[in-house]
Amino acid sequence: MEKWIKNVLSFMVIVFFGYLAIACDDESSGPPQPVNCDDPMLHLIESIGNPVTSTIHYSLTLLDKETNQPVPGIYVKTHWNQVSCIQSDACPMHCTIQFSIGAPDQSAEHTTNANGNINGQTFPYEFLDKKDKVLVTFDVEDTHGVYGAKRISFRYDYTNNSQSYTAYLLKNDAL
Amino acid sequence: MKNRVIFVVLSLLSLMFSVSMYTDWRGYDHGLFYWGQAVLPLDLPRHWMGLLGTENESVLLYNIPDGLWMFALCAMILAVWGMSDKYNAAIWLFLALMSGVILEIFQYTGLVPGTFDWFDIYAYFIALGCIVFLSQIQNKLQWKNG
Repeated sequence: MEKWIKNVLSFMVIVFFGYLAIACDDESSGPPQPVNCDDPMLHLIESIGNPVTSTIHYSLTLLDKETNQPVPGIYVKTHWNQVSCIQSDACPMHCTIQFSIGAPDQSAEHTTNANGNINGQTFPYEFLDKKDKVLVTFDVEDTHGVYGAKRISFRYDYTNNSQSYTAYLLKNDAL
Repeated sequence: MKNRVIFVVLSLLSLMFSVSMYTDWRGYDHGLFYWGQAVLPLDLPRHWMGLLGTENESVLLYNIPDGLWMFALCAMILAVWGMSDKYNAAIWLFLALMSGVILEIFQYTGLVPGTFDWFDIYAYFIALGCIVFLSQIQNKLQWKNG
């Protein structure tokens, strides 16, 4: 290759890489705006060594508040959502805690069995950060109208993916 | 010719990692990064961010991508000049290094967007050192193979 061609090529390479560096750096539309990375809304990212994909196995037992006896035949609608630590654009070592959006309908319907218990499992979720959680909410409704309606939420994470919970129901006439 | 291909491959690989660090770890979605990811796709796992430990994470996020950028630039210069014209290659490598340093100075003065960082300049020198070291190894191997 002729030497002058190499010189031109080298110059073009430097110009191209220089353009890459300038055009890509921090929104070339003006000086960067100061961002407070100590904002309490931001949390420090705590990556899990290896991402964990896990299904949450939930279990809820409903007991009568007065008698402490299991309450069968109670309709429970369970829905769940992942709450994730989403990396901040301005502060790459920090994240904001956000609900996953645009997810399909994530719910299941149950009726308590003779032991007053329901159980089920969520879709598999990927946990990337120690703060990633799955929020499972139980909407409890007695179709016979004996017990008052109740909404209960529990948070599960990658270290706690099959916890059982107990909740107490109050009769409507005691309310 | 073989040397030049190796340097082009090294340059593209280095750019690929640098672009992926910006897009996968720093969340950049600038059009150029979009094209960079489309041409040279690489999905860096987020937990790799913790490889250097939390206290050194900024090195991985800010300085190493710049060092990889300089490495890619120098590798491309060597791909143009090959190993035969060391004098001119050295001049252009020096100009490449200076272009990085000048960009940092411009960042300091506010002429171009970005944040001045001494560690970026160290990263440029280390990148240049690495590519020169690699070219020496390649030169020796070529000499041995006759």
